[in-house]
Amino acid sequence: MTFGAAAFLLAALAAVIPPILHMINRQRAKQLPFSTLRFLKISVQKTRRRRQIRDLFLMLVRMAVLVFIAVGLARPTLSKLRGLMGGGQSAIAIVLDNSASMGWIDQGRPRFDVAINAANQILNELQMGDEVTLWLTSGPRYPEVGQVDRTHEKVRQLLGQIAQRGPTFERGELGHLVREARHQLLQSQAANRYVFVITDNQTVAWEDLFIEQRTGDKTPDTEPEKTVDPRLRRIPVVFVDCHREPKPNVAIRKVELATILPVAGIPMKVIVELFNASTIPQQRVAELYVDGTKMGTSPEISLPPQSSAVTEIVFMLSRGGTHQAEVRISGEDGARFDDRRYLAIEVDANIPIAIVTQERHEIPYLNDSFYLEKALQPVSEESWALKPTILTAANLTNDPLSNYRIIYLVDLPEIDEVIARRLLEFVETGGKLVWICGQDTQIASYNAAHEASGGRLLPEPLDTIMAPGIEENRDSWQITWLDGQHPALVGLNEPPSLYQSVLVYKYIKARHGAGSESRVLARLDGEGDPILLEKRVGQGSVIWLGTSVHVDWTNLPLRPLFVPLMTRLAFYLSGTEPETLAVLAGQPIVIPYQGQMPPSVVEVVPPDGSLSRLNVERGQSPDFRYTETHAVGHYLFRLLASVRPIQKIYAVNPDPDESDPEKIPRDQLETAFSESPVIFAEDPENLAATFALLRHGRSLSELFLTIVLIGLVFETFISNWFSPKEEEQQPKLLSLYRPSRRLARLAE
Amino acid sequence: MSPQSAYRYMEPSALARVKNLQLVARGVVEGFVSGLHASPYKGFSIEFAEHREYVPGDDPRHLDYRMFARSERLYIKQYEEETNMRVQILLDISGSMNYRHEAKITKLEYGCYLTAILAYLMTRQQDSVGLTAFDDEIRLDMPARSSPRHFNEMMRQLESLQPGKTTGLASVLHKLANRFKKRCLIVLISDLYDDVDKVIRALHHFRHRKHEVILFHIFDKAELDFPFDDLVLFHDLETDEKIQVDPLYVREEYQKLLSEFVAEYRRACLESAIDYVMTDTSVPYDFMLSRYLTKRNQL
Repeated sequence: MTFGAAAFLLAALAAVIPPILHMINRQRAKQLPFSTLRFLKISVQKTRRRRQIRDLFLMLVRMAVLVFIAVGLARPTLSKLRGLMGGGQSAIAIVLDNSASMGWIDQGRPRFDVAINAANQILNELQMGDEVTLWLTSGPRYPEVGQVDRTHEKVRQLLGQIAQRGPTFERGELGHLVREARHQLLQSQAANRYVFVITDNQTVAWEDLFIEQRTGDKTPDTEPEKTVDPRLRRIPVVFVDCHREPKPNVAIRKVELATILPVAGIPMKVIVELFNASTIPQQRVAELYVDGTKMGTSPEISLPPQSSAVTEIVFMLSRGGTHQAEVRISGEDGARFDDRRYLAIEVDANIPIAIVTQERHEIPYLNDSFYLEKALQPVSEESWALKPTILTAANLTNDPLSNYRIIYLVDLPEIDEVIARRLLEFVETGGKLVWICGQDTQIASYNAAHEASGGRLLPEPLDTIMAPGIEENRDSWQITWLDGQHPALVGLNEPPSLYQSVLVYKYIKARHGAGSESRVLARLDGEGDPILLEKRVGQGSVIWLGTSVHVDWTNLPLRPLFVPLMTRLAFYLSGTEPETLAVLAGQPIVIPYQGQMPPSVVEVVPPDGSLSRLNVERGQSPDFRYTETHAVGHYLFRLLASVRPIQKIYAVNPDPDESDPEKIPRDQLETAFSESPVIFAEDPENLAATFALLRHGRSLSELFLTIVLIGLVFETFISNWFSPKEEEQQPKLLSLYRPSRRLARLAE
Repeated sequence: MSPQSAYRYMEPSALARVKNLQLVARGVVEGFVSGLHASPYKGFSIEFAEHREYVPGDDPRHLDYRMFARSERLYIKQYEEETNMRVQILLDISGSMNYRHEAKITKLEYGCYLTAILAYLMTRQQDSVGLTAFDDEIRLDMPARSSPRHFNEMMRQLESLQPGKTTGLASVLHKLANRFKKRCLIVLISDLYDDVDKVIRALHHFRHRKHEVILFHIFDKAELDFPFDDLVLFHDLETDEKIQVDPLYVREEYQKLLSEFVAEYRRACLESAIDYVMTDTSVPYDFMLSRYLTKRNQL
């Protein structure tokens, strides 16, 4: 503690006056005779303690009051901060939170406006030669950010630019920024150094600070803190909190695309999750737009306070390709940045499948794959989701297999090395293989290819051909079990007659045993041999049908089960997780080349519609990275490769955590920065009081004078409480003559 | 007998106030002169007392013929014989009686005035009056006489009385109770600052010997009101002890103790049929006595 007028402390000597007066009063008692002291002695004894306590109390209170008056007049100040801003050169770091949440409207004004105003106030407070550095939590990397500016001009210009752009759509992380700012201030020679943090103090913005503390991670960034540079501890942190009373807000927290098959003509749905951050119930309606056209509206959603709700919008796309979708909610609320979410939807026009046979007959029904082709394409219209292409084995050698989603191999006699390798590569990169055996299937060749592939070309190695006569009294086998849990077979096992009516006259037995990685989808009676198997290989899968799809081997093609089984399997095999074509603002968009030749030029069309051409250095990188995702919306990329250009659309959205209104408590910040002085500016709109506090320290005069006032009231109270009451102070008259009761009775 | 205004303690105005009053013994007293007071002996006199059935040998002049007419039985009348009263005034002259705060006279002087006027009253009634002055010992002892010369001597002795030292009230009263053989009226004038139980027992001693007692309890007004404000160093008039007192703090407790002190005497006197009269020196003694005698005579 320091004193502005220390001379007044001498007045504290007046505290000796009460004891002196007490002594004087004792000596000045007047002397009087009295008839007898018998009653006085007893009275004095009984009241002595009360009087002593009162006198002591009063004396102490009066002494304390005099001391506190003297101290109060001496203008005491808490000098922890004093001198930091008044006198000597200063170095200031301004950490400005320009994350998405700063766009929230508080008391009719965006937080970011308040923040910019506060930053300008700080700049106006600086003097020539003072150093200032501006740090931003998010947004583009300006070259001026983090650079010491002694003229203040660059920082002002940057601040003007930032003010014009407004808050970003990105998440802000303050912990590491404050740390960086303080480390930089250590390099300064200025006498007074401090950090101003202008933020809305969202809890999520400080998560990086507390994660380190919780997990005890000693990252390189935190290591210097642990070693504790004492100068670092003397750099105070001033928090300018722009968070006031936020307007009620409903945010789109999450949007997901759900579809069993991303193919045009197949219904799909968008699942929208909304969050009501306010303390009052809200109602909203969500709308879906695809390529600028409204595709659907959700029912009205009621949101209780502080809770979320989910709704769905079902829609269907009529053409394949990449579509730009957007979910919007309407309604005036506290933040606009979280009222829209963008999606990029890639759908195929149809599912390209290949049916590979050894040869083609002129008479179609003679082909082994006749029934299969009919099952997979019952109609010849373009709108049909499945688009089979008939290939021969020779096509497998040369044609790009990636053109197809599924390849059906129908009764190929043998599999040579090239075909095996290409098929394996096809499967491992996500393709689906369906093996359908037949009369020409050479088990040895298949097994050799399977073995050469490391056991990944087939679900299982093959065993023998099972035909009538092998088992006594048996001319066929029945399907006795169908895996009703499999996504492609759900519902096909009821009624059981659906699959039990299928007779298999001939089949190739697969060696499936305990510990096998393949999954059995159907079994025959008898020894229970699997007739339909599936196995995951790499990113794809292989399916084995142990019998033919021709009537020579089974009546399956003629049974009602056949068509739904084949189409269901086809759709199942075609279905994939919709590719995530969305990132959060500020995060890089990564476009993998997927084994293809890297492009030399990439054209980028960001949401504002401008076109950029970026030259790509061909190096070891397996993907293209684009980091300028500061705006939200759709980004169109054209990777102009020499072979074939790839067009991709990505959606960039605001970080949903920025819609979380939870604010970090002050005591947590004080704890986190406990080694340094911490100040909280009371009014971000007017920092004059904060500057005065920094300049002069916290005045304690008012505190001491308040104590004096309380002391005087207390003294009066004590004095009255211990003193005789009013009636006691008035001499009470004892009655004089009072006749005895006997005389009084006689008088009556 | 005319008022002796030449004596210090004889104020004509006071005497004038009480001149028509009498102090009559409430009980029977033994006297040798036929006077105001009832004699324990029943004989033939002016005052009718009661009837008694006629027995052969009684004087037929006292037959009550009215009673005979009513009851057809013979009764004779009995008469009360009046006699004079012996009064012994016991005056406390201990050091505490010499106290005065703002009053004109000390308690002792008040007591002397009271003694004088009582003596005058008794003498005028042709009753005998004596005076015993004491502190811790008997300092003056005048037996009861009714002559004017005795009265004058008593006045002179009163004027020469000086305040004594410590109080020995109880022991002196016991001694005196043993001394008075014949029934008389004892008038005690004191501030009673002695052991309460012992004094009460001494008073009971008088009553046990069939003496009538009147007790005048004298205070100074300051003793009752305790009007002091500032810090005071009191010293005891009898023992010279000193004590510093903050009156604001002790007043209530002091008055409470004093009230208990007075109440105890009052209760004891009531139980013993002793007239208890409390007064202070601010009340004119003649007024106080006049009021007391008037009420006493009415009962």
